[in-house]
Amino acid sequence: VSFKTYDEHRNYWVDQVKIDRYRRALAEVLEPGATVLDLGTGTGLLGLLACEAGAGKVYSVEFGPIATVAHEVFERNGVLDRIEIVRGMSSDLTLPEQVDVVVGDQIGGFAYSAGVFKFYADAARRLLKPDGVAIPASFELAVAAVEHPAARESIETFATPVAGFDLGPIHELVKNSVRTVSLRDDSSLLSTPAIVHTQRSTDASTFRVSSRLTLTRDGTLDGLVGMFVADMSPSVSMSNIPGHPDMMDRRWQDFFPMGRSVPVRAGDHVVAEMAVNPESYLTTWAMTVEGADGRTTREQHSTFEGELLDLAKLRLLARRPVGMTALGRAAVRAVADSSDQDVDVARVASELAAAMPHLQRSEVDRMVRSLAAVLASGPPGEV
Amino acid sequence: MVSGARQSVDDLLGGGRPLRIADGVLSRRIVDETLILRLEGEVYFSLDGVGSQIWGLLGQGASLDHIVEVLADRYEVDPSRLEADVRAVLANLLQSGLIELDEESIPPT
Repeated sequence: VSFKTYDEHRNYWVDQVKIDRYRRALAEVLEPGATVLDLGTGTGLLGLLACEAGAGKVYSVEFGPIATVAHEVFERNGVLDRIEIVRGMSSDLTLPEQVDVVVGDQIGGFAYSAGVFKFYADAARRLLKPDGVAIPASFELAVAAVEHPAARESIETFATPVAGFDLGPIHELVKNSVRTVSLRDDSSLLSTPAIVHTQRSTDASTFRVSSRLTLTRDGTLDGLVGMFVADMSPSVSMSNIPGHPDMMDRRWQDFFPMGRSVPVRAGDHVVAEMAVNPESYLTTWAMTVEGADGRTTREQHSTFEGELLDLAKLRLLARRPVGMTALGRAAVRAVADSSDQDVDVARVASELAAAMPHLQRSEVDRMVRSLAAVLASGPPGEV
Repeated sequence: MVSGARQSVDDLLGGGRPLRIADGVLSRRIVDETLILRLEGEVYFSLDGVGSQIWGLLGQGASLDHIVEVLADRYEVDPSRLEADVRAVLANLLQSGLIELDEESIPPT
């Protein structure tokens, strides 16, 4: 287990393009003595870069035990006097002051999938000065049609009987699941990557994109690949798009399967439509292939249909349009009793814990957080 | 405000007007129930067996009248009781923003 962890952190250190872009962005943005929030410090990379760029104070937030390593790395590099390591999740964090700059690397293949928008939006609401700056400042999201035999095989394994057994239910799940692919060059792409959306990194609102892609070669359409250009600071960019001049060494992207791969020809069009909730990572995607002969093929998927759901737990959270469960009533009553905006989370938690003595406290807390997140955006329609 | 909302829900359900599942609403059949989730939301809604049949019919653009007709064929129940039950489910789905009136399917008068 340890070696795997060290390997993961090694990956953050060996990407020289990424380090260079963070270093240049911090140099461009930081005023001398600025305060910085380093979200997810790991072994200390961004905290060190912030100090190097002249930060006066860095709050380095880390949930895992790797924080101990960061402490030693900061000490070894003579910056510990400017760093305060905070153990925990940034979403649970309070700071003695608002900071000038927030910096982090929770960037997934299609940007949102590692949490950047969600964590930054929360930080911007509570921890960043109103005129503070986020690095990256915004993301341009790109999609392309892709041919990927290995990804195809991982799905089609379950499309036909295996050892004589029908594994259709597994097939349904995998074709609705996003996976990571590693495209080192653009040879797998069936279309030119198209920028379909731009969003500030501190904005976690749901977005929808649509793009009509023109295929540039014959092949098999296996799905869409989601990529990004991170606008780090006014003059610095970083990307995972194959062939992009600012392409990182860390070459992985998010793959959204077609589900049923189809042969395509150069000149065919693929209409790609996606909807993404960066808070929950809930994603829907649809591909409509328009062939030269006028025939169209459409496939539509969502991560909701690909999620491995624990029905027993979901029942505790589900709202039944007719007849709410006793548990739901207890939770919603506690919330409804509190004032409009300030949900009494402690009270909800104690009601839930009393209603579900078999659950671990951490599970109760997680449910309450989820419930509170919903209620923060407005009271439920019917209680 | 409550009575106003009630009024509009009754209006929406009246006269065999076609309904549809709202944009950004996802559903999934799992074992014996239907789980429903709004793209923007984190609260799961759940429908049991008969509720799942209603949801299936809504996916085809059914109206209250049509749903009652189909279920009356499947189950031996008092039609007025059935209509009241279906109406309550639909009103709840409407108020939760999970379904809406399918304006495009309404024939011009």
